Parts: sequence; C-alpha cells; structure tokens
Amino acid sequence: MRVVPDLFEKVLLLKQSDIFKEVNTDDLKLVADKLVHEDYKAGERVFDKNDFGDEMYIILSGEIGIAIDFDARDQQYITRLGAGACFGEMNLLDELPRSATAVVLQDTSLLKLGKQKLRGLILSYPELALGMLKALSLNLRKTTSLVAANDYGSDHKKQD
Amino acid sequence: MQRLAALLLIRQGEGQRATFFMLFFLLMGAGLAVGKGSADALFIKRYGVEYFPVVYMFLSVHLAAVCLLYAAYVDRLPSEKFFRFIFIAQLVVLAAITLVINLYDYDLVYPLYYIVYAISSELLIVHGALYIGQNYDTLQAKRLTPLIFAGYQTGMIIGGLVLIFFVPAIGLNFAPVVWALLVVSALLMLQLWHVSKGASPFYFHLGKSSKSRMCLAIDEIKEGFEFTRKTALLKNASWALFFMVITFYMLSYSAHTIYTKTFDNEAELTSFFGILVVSTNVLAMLIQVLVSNRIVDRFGIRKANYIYPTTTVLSFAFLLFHPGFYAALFASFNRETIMPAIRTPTRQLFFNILPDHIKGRARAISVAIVMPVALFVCGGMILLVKHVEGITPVAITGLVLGMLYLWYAVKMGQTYIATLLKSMREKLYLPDDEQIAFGDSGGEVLQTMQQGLDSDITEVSLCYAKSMLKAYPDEAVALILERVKSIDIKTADQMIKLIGSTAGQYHIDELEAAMQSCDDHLRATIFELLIRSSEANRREIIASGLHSENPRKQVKAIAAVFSFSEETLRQDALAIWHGMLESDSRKQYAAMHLLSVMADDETVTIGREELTSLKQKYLTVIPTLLQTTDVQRRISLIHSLKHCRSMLPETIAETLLQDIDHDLPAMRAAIASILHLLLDEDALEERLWQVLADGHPDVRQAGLCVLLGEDENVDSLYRDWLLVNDRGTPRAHKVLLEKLITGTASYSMLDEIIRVKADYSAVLLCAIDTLKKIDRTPALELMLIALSERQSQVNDLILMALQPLIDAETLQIIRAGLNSRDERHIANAIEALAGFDNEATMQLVTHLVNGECIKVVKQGVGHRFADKTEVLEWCASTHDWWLKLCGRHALMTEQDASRA
Repeated sequence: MRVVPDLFEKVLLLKQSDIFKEVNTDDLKLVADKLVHEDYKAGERVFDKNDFGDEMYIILSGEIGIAIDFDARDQQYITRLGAGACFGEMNLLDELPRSATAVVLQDTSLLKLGKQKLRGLILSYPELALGMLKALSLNLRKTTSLVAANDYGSDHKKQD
Repeated sequence: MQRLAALLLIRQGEGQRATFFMLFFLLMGAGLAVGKGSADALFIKRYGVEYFPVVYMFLSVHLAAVCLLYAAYVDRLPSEKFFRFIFIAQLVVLAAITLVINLYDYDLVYPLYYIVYAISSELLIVHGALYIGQNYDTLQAKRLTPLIFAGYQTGMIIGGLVLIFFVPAIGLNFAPVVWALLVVSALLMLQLWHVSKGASPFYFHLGKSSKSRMCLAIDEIKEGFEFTRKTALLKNASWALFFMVITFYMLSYSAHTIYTKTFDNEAELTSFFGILVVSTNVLAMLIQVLVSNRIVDRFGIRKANYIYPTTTVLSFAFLLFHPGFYAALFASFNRETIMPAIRTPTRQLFFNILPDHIKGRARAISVAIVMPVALFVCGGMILLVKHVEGITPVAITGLVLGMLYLWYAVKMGQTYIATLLKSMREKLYLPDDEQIAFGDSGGEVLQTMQQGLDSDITEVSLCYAKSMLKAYPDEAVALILERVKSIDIKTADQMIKLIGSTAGQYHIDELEAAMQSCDDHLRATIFELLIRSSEANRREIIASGLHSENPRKQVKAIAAVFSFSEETLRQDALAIWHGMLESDSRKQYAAMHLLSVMADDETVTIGREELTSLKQKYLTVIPTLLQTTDVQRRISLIHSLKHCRSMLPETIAETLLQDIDHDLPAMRAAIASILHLLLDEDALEERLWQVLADGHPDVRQAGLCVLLGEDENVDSLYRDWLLVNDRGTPRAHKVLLEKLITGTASYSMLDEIIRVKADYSAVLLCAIDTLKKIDRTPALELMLIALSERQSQVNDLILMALQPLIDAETLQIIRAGLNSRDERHIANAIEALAGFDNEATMQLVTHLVNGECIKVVKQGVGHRFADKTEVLEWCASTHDWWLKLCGRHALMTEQDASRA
C-alpha cells in the first residue's frame, strides 16, 4: 500500500479532478484537510449500484473497475480507473443513489471526501462552490458541444 | 523542427492541422493560378482586352447570383461540406469549357472561362477564410492565417510554374484540365481529413426549420442584409470593399491594357503571366510568412488594414504620372502581392470577431451584394472613360476612389473594437442596463415581485421585499407584513426593519396589528418602529416598554429614553438598565444591545459616573456571557461589542481570538469586525491581511470596515495597502481595490496601482515561464499551478483598476471573456485589449494576459529567473502564504531529491 500523501499531493490530486479543477489551490487546501485515507483489497467493492453513498474518491494507487451491472462471473467494466482518477463525485452534489458499482481490481489506496464535510466547507468558504460551479458549467458546455457534434454527424450521414 | 514551428508561430498541438490547411490551400492556389493565367491569356488574345468592361458587368450579375446562393446556404452546412459542392460544380463547368474550346472553338467560351475563374477565385477565398474561422479561434487564426495563405501563395507559384513549363507543352486549350485535376486533388484531401478528424470544431449548427430552403434562403439574405445595415463594422467594411473592388479591377484593366501592347502573341503573354504569377506570389509568400503576421502582431489588425489601400493609391499615382510597363508591374505587384499577403488575411481577421451565427452570411452578403454592384459600376466607369486615349482617365478615377477606399478602411478600424465587444457581450450573455431596469408596468411586475417575496429562499424573499418597497411603497407594507407571519424570525426582523427604514411612519396601524401575532423578538423590533413613528404619544409608549416583561422591549425603551432625551424617564431607565445587568443571563444578553447607546456621543447624556459604573458591570458580565455554547448568541454578543470605544481586556481578547478561524463565516465575520478592539497595531495589520483573504465575502467585508475605520480613509487604503505587492494575497487586494474604485480613486492612483501590479504579474509570469520549461515533479507542478493562479488573479486586479480609466463596461466584458475559460472568448478578449489606444499600458497588459514573458521583460517590467531554484526561493520568501508554503515544500522536495 502507498504511503499517505502529504497535503500538497492531496491538493494536486484534487486540482486534477474534474469537479475541483476550477477551484484555486489555496482554497483546495481546505478540502485536502478533510480527505480521509482508505485502503481496499482486490475483489472488494467500494460501493454498489443503487447505494445511497455520499462520498467522492480519488485513487492514490491500484485500480478500480466501474460496472453498470456488476456480475462477479462475467466482469465487464465500462471503465477502469487508475492512480489520480476520481469517482463518485456526482454524489457530493445530488441525492441520487449510485449509478454504478465500483470494484477494486488491484489492492487500492483511496482518498475519500464526505458530502457533509464538503457542504460545511462550501457554506463557510463559498469561493469553493463558485469554482465547482465553474467546473460543472465547463463540463456542461463540453457535453453540449459533443451532443451538437454528434447531432451534426448524424445529419451529415443522413444527407450523405 | 521545433525551431521551424516557432519561426512559423505554430504552437504545440497545432502542427498537423496547420499542415493540412497549408497543403489544402496550396492545391486551391495552384488551381486558381492555372485558371488565372490561362483565362487572362485566352481572353486578351482570343477575345480582346477592350471587352473587359463589358465582361466586368456580366461578371457582376453572375457573381451576384452565385454569391446570393452562397449566402443563403453557407451557414446551413459545415464549411468542408460546402467546399465539396463548390469543387464538384467547378469540375462540371471546367469539363464543359474544355469540350467547347477543343471541339467547337466557340468565341463566347473565353469570357465564360474568365467569369468562371473570377467567381471561383472570389468564392474559394471567401469560403476558405470561413473554413479557417470554423477551425481556429481568433488568436490562432491571427497567428496562422498568414501562414495558411502562404500555402495558397505557394500553390499560386506552383501554378505559375505549370503555366510557364507545362501548359505550353500540352497547349493552352488543355489548361482547364490541369486546373480540374488540382481541384480533384483538393477535394480528395478534404474528404480524407474530415473522415479521420470529424467536422470543423467551431462550426455553428443552425437548428432545423419547417420552412422550405428557398424561404429560408430569402430570410437569411434579409437577416444578413439587416445585420450589415445595423453593424457599423460591416457597413464600413462594405463601403471599403465597394471601393476596393472598383480600384482592383481598374488596376487590372490598366495593367492588362499595357501588357497587351507590350506582348505581341498569345504564347509570350501566357509565359509572361506565368512569370508574373510566380514572382508576385513568391514575394507575397515571403511577405506573408515573414512579415504579415509580425505586422499584425506589432501594429494590430486595424493598422495593418490600412496598408493595401495606401499602396492602391500609390499604384494609381504611378500609373498617372509614369504610365508604362513598370507602372503596370507595380499595379500587378499591388494586386497580386500586397492584396493576398496583407489585405486578404487582415480582412478575414476582421470577420472573425462577428457572432458565429451571422459570420458566414454577413461575409457573403458583402460579397454577394457589394462586390457585384461595385464590379458593375467599375465596368460602367471604364466604358465611359475608355474612349479617351491612354489610361490617364482611369488612373485619375482610380486615384480618387483609392482615397475613398483608404477613408473607409480607417473608419472600419474605428468600429472594429466596438463590434468585437458587442459580439463578446452577446456570446457571454451579459445583460444590457436596459434589460436589468424595469419600467413601471403595473400589476404584472407587482405580481412577479410578490411571487419572489413568497420564495422559500430567504435571501430572495428579502431582495424582493426591498425592491417592492422602492417600487410599490403603498402595496408593499401589507404584503410584507403578511409574509412576516410565515418566515423565519431573523428574516422577519430584517423585513420589519426594512419597512421602518422606508415607509414605517405611514403604517402605524398595520404595524400595531402585526405586533399582536409576533414573538418577543419581532415585537421589540416593531416596538422600536412605533417609538420612532409616534411623535405624539412617544413618552407613553416608551414608559410602557420600560416596564415590559419582554427584555428586548425594555432595551428598546431604555435606548429611546436617551436618544429622544426623555428626561422624566431617565432615572427610571438607568435603574432598569443596572437591574438588567445584575439579573439573569437572558436580561444580561438583552442589555448588551445597550452598548451602542453608551457609545453614542450625540444622543446620550448618561453622565460620566453612570458610564463608569455601567462599564464596570459590563466588563464583569461579558466574560461570563462569552462562555455560552450557543454560537448564535455568542455571535450576537460579539456584534454588540463593536460599540466599545476602547481596547477590550486581554482575557476577553484571547477568548474571542480563538474563534478567528471558526467554521461558521458569521463567527469569523463577527470577530473580524472587532479586531481593532483585540489587537495592537502590528498584530492587527497582519491579521487584517488574513481576514481580507478569507473565503467568505462577509468576513472580508468586516475586515475592510475595520481597515477603513469610521472615517473611511481611502487614501491610506491606497498608499499603505494597495501599493504593496509583498503583503496579502490577490483576493485581499481585490477587496481593497473594489472599495477604492467605488470610492474616490483618482486616475493617478489607479495608474500607479496598475504599474505596481503589472510589475508583480510580470515577475509571476517570468517564474511561470521558468518552471514551464523544465521537467516537473508533483511539487513543482503544484508550484506552477499556484503561480499561474496568482498571475491570473493579479491580471484581473490590473483589469479592474483599468476599468475606470478606460470604460468600465468594456473592461467588464473583457474580464468576463478572460475568465470564461473558452478559448475563443479569451482570444477575443485579448484582441479587444490589444485594440485600446493607451498603447504602452495596454500592450503590457495584453502581453501579461497572453503570457508573453519575453515581450514583458523587454518592456522593462519583471525579471528573468536563472533557474527553478531561484523561482522556488523567491516563492518561499514572499508574503503570500500559499506561494510561500508551496515554495518551501518544493524546495525541500528538490533538496531531498538531490541528496538521494
């Protein structure tokens, strides 16, 4: 298992995540202070689909598989995430159950951020929320462009 | 390879696309060169130069038809798909022309071939520029358009060489076939690129409509025309284009007339045209690659746009005073070298700033309406004057029209920045003032406001209450008092105070009625309003309050005794006050609000002895009250302490300072608001910098109030706080600058701030530049990110300070653009910045925002760092807590690594 990262590494990891990429690093220090280190063994599940989780995770080391309908015999993952990747972040903001199962593929070290802790920080330091909103807005713009491009693509094919 | 890319201003990740564009434009250029040389030679020698004016007039009609069709459909399809249609149409026509020339030798085919060439060249260049615009943002386009057009020039040179060496061998009759083969190559290349790379990234896809294509086409032409009519930039650009087209064809006619006389046969003329195409295009390419982008970069798009009109005026002057072969050569040089090398890319950049949905249409309308009309006028003018011997009449007319062209180019430059900003405003959805303001439109607005007042979000409800009281004072009180019944106490209290501050005295009955159904807290608030509103029976009301069971009401009554100088009630009030301080904690808390009464010199006539006695009692009570675990009560207590006139005892200060980093912003703000009562001067300054950088605006605001003091000393704010770069963080400086700007900041103050902040931003930029060039460990990566964030924040400060100096609204749009993280908006914002007249400052700011370290240092600000260690040491020694922390950490990491 990996040594627990120091504050600066935590800040960098947060900065590289989709949800915190627009938050300034000095503000992220506050979030980094709230991260909790957890280790998982291969084969364990971090959470299951439809769980009511309220944590986001950042992978320090190891590998996590994300499966929409997890079947232990036929392990098919929509994506495999490695060190530095972030998952479960949407549950920090909404109240919906998990949309997929996160399975530990190799022994994994994670950093966990709880919803309540983040909410407390946001209320106390609204600049954090502004940065997160900006990141969400940028992601939305990207998605809109992709949808528009796909729309164009299908139009293109029809006309061809 | 990297050095070549740097020389050509190609940045990382742009190489592949830039190469494709250059090659694609090369093939188009080669085809057009073959078309141009062969069409000119065939027309002049087989049809006659004297028919040029008539052909211009015919060309205008055809050009109008083709371009209107283009304008109608151009925004409906991605540019690459439209290119396919143009190429296929070209191939069909060229095949037909080749057949007619070789099988029938029908005379009219030559003017037709000339017209096909002329339309193709216009359409391909216009559409090519649109294609670039759909693939690059403004800054990329600004850098790469000259390079791409250099590819086009290279193609023209290759086409010229084909004309000299290959076409004579196969015969001029087969020149259209060569052109067609080059078109096929371009078409294949385009297909292959888009199959692998997908559609153009910046293509704006219009939604589907139930209307027929023809109706849509007509609508689009109307919209485009309307847009041209309303947009100053396009209007001026259209006039400039009008005169440009006339002068262009007049130069062409004059030069061709001279060449026809100089060269006797078709073969000589074709070879000469080949040589002319090669030489003018070699020059054009050299200018484009080595000079154009640097001119645009150095002088800006506006000034670069004056070059071609000026050389056009000079060409006509040359033709007028020294008519002959060299004057014709200079005219050709102007048309074939300056025009493509400088005028065309510059003009395309002008169009890049228009809103996406209208860009292609507006451009096409200029070409579809303005160009044909100009061409028709040109043909008519030449027809009128050609009967006079020589080219003097054409040269004189051209000279006058050239000057008009220059005039409109200048006007075009003047409207450029305004249009750019307007376009950005539209893209960023920044509202106009008119949109924010609402008129007195009666019931509908009131109804909307009432819905807002009923909002579950208390802040929203409160905002609507405020607006309602301003806009509809008569209706508002009843509605707000109704709302007070169903809202939380804190907001209800604020709403009642709002009524009191705006319309209280007119609604005593309503307030009294409301008081019956309220809790103690609200009753006290309403009671206070009643005291203020009821002049006639004020004493009775106060007396009843003094003996109330509600301590809050008692407090309001005691305060009223002193503020309204009710001498008969004075002793009674003092006795009750003392009694409250000696009573239980509930009454003691209530009595804390009377600290403000003690602090009010003007209205209080308590007397020295009484004051000392009360003060003593308070100092005994406060430490006990501060022990409460109820945070809200504690916050309220701290707010009451704001009214103390002297430093609080050390024991109380220590207890309070423990909460300076409390999780609740309200607590941090409360402590911040009394920092001056807790700390000595040096410690206070240090603490205030921290408070001003807090993550919550209320805390920052509280710190600012302490800093400014009661007399709001803005001068000290400027001199002692804003002009220092080595204290606090940009967030703290932003709070101060905002205050300075909304206050009475003089221009010299702001100028000085810009200079000081620009210097700091430059140092940060140089540090960033040093770190960017090296391999980075995670610690260095974080350092780089932290420095970049700081530089961006400092740049924002500079722009804020510029706001009052230039135009607040404009700078706001630019700041929004820069903060949007959208490459195109950022590019447009930088372009807008570069367009301001205050050259030295704006140039520096533009370089800072654009991250151009070398240029910044050249301007004498900032300083280069020798290596990463110097950067880290500088960071570790700054007063910016975060840079210092990251710097120290990175230094330690580096030292550990070197030891290992």
